[in-house]
Amino acid sequence: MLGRTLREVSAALKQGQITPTELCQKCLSLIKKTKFLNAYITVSEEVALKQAEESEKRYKKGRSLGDLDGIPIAVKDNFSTSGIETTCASNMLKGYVPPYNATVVQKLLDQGALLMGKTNLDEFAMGSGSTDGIFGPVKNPWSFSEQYRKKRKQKSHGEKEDSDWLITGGSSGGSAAAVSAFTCFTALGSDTGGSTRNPAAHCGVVGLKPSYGLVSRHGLIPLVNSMDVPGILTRCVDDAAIVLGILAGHDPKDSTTVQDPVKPFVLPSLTDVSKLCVGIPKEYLAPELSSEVRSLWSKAANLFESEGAKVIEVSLPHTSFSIVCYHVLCTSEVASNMARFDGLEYGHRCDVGVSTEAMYAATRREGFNDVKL
Amino acid sequence: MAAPVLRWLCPGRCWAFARIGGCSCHGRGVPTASTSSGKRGQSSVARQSLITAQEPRKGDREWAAVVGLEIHAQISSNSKLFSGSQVHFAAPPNSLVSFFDASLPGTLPVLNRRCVEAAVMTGLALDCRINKKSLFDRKHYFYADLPAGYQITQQRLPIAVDGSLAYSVCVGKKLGQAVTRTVRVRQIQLEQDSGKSLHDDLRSQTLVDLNRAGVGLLEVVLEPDMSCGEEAAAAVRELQLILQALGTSRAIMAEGQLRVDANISVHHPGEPLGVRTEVKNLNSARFLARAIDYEIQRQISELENGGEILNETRSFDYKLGCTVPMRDKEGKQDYRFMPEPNLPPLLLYDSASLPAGADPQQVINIDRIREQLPELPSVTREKLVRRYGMLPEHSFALLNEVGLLEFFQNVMKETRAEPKKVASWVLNTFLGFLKQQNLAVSESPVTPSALAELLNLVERKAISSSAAKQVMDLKKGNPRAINKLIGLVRKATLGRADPTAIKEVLERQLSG
Repeated sequence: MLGRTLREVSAALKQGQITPTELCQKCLSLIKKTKFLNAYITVSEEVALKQAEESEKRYKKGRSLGDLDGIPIAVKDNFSTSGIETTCASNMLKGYVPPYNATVVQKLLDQGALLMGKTNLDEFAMGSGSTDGIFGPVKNPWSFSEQYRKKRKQKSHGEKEDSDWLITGGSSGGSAAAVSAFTCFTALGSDTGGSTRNPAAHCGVVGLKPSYGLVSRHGLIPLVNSMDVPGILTRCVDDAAIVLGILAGHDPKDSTTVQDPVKPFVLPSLTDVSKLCVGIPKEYLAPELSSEVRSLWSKAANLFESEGAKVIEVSLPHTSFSIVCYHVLCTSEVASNMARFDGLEYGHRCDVGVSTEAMYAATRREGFNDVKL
Repeated sequence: MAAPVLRWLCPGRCWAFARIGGCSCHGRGVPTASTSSGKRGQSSVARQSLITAQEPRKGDREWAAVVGLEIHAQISSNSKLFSGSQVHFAAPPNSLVSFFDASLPGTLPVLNRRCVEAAVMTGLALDCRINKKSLFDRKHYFYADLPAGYQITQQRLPIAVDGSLAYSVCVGKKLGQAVTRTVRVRQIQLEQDSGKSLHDDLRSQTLVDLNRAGVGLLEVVLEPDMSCGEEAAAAVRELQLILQALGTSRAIMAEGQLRVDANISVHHPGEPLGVRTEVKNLNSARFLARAIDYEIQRQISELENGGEILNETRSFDYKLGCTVPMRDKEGKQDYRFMPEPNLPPLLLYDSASLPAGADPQQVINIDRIREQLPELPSVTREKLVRRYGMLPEHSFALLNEVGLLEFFQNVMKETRAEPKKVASWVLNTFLGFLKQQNLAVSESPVTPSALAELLNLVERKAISSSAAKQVMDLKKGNPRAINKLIGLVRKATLGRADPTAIKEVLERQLSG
C-alpha cells in the first residue's frame, strides 16, 4: 500500500480498502523502524492520528476533501507549523514553536493531509548534503539497500557498518529520505539553488522546483528571498503534478506571488513525442561534469531522439556567471535574513546580560553554526 | 529697532549681527562671542551707528547658517505599513504587534494601500513629481526596537521627488511684517517606524514596546534652504498644517506623530559650506527653533575659538537647553542598503497609463487622487483674504488654532458685522479669553451664535463694544452664564436702549 501512487491510495481510501488511521499507523511504524536514517527531527504522532481520525469521519460520510485527504505527508523543518516545533536544524530556533502555519502547509492540511512530522535539513537550508544540521546528518535509504550492501562488502573489510552510509544530498535531505523510504507519500522541501532537486536525485525520487512566484513563500523561513521556493518531493511525476495543483496560486500574504489565477491541470500522458523539441545547453557540458552523469545524459537524449523527438543544441550564454552572481546575492540576502535572530523576540537567548550588544553577540555565536558554502 | 530692518534688507543673513546681539530669532541663554552685545532697547539710530562704527576685528566676519530638515510624519491609517495590526496611540505595551511586526521568521510584508495614497497626496500637495515606479530597500542596523535588524525604506527611488514648501516668517515685531520663503522638497519616502525603547537604568535593563514598530512613516526631506531656527520652525508648522488638512497625518509632535531631525552647518558667505552636524529627534514645536539656533551659535563659537566641527550626531537636551553628542551614533554607520526582495516595484498610474480592465482595488490613479485633494491651508488663507478683505496675518492666525476657522465662519453666518471686525474679535478677545482659561476652541463655553449675537448688538450700537468686552471679561468668574447674559441683554435692548442702562443691567445680573 505504501508504494502506491497518490491517485491509487486515494482511490483505496475512498473504496474503504484501507482507512486513514491504518495508513497513518503503517507510516508511523515505518518511521520508527527507519529511525537510523535520521530523516525526521520531529514526529508529530498525536497530531497525525487525530487528523487521521477526522479524515476517517469524512470518508465514512462520503465527503472527502480531495486527492490528499487522509494521505501521510512530511514537511521540511524550515516551514512554520503552528504548535509544532520548527527548528531549521539550528540551535537558534531549538524550542521555537510558531503560532501560525505556512501557506503551503495550510493548503495541504486543508486538503486533509496527515502531517507525519518535520524533516531534517542542513542548518537554515544552507548546504547541499543535509550533513550540517545540529541534529546530525540524514542517511540515504539507498545506503541500506541490498545492492549497495553487497557492493560495499566486496570492497571494504572490517569497516564499521554504521559509518558506511551515503549522503542524501541537500538541503531537503530529510524530506527526500522520508519519501524514498516510503514513510510518507509526499514531502515539502525548499529550493534556492537546488535544495529540492539535489536530494531528489541522490535519493531516487522526483523533486520539483516550481517557478518563482508560483507557490507562496509565506511561512517558509527564508534563506534567499529572491530565489527560495517551496519544493515538492514525490515518488512519481504524476504525484508531483497533483501536489503542485494544490499549492500553486496567488497568496495575498506573499507579494511576490503571481496575480494571475492558476488553472487546474492534468499532466498529459505523453506517448507521442514527435512534436517535442528538447534543447541541450552547450554550456552545461562542462569539463568538470562526471563521466557517469555525462553518459546518462546522452542516454536520455538518445532515448528522446529515437522516439521521434527533436533534440538540438541551445545556448545559455550567461551560465558561467551564474555561480558568481548566486554567491553574491546569496551571501547578502542570507546575512540580511539572519539579522532578526537576536534572542529578543523568540528563539535562543544567551545568559549574558551586560549590554544589548554583548547579548546579541553571545546569542548569535551560540545559536549559529559555521557557514559552509 | 535696527535689527528687524537690517534683516529685511539682507534676507537670509540674519547672522550678520549675530554676535552683536538683539536679533529676535535668538532664544535665551545662547552664548555670543562678542562682548559689546546684549544691549537691548537702544534707539535705532544709536544701534546703527554702533554697527557702522565698529572696526572689524581679525577673523571678525559674517556667518551664514544653513539648515536642512528630515521630517518624519506618522501616517494616519488604520493599520501599519506592511502588516494588519492596528495603529493607536498609548495602547498597552505590545498589544498591537502582528507576527510580521515581531519579525517572526517566515513572515512577509504586504503594502498598505492607504499609506501609498497618503504619500501621493502629500507629494502632490508639495508640488512633487510622483514617481510612477518606486522601490523599497532594507536599511540594516542592530537595535533592540528594530526586530528584523533592518528597516524597510525607500533609499534608491522614493515615491515623490523635487517639490517645494512655501512658508511665512515674521520679520518684524508687528504681525504685519511677514515674508514668504520657499524650501525645496528633495524627496518624500515611505518607511517603517521602529518600536520604542524604555531605558530602566535602575535595573540596568531596557524594555521594548513594539506597538509602534512597523507604523507607516512619511519622511519629508527639506533641502538646506533655511538659515535659522525660526525659518525651520515656520516650515515645519506649515507642513504640519498641510498634513492635517490632507488628513495624511495628525502630525501632533507631543504624540510623536511628527519628529524632526535637523542638519546644520555654518560658513562665511561666499565660501564653501561647512561641516554639518545632525541634531536628532526634535520632538517639540517649542524647542525646535531654540535647538537649531543653539547649535548654529555653538558651531560659530567653536570655529571662532579655533576649534573644528565634527560630522556627528547630536541631540537636544531640553533641560539644559543645549545640544549634546549622541554616544550611540559615534562613527559612520554602514547600513548595507539592499533591495527589499519581498516587495515588487511599486507601480502607480495616471488616467493615461491606467491598464484597461484593471481592478480599481489593485491600482492607484494619481490623477484621481489629485482631483480629490482637500483644500490646502495656503488656498484657504487666500480665499479668506479675497472674500473678507482680511489681513493676511489674520488668515494665518485663524488657521493656526484647531477649530478657530470654523468658529469664525459660523459667527460670520449669523452676523452682519464687518468681517474685519469679526476677525479681530475672534482673534483678540475670544482667543485671548480661551487662552486665559486654558481652553481649546472645542471646549469653548461661548458658542458662535452667542458671539454673533453679541457682535450684532454692538453693530446696532445697542451696546458699546467696551460693554461687550466686559461681558467677555466677566466670564472669567462664571463661564456658563454668558449665553444667559446675552439673552438678557437682548431682551433689555429690544428697543434702542441707553448703553449705560444696559451696563447697569449687566452689572446687576453679574453681581448676583
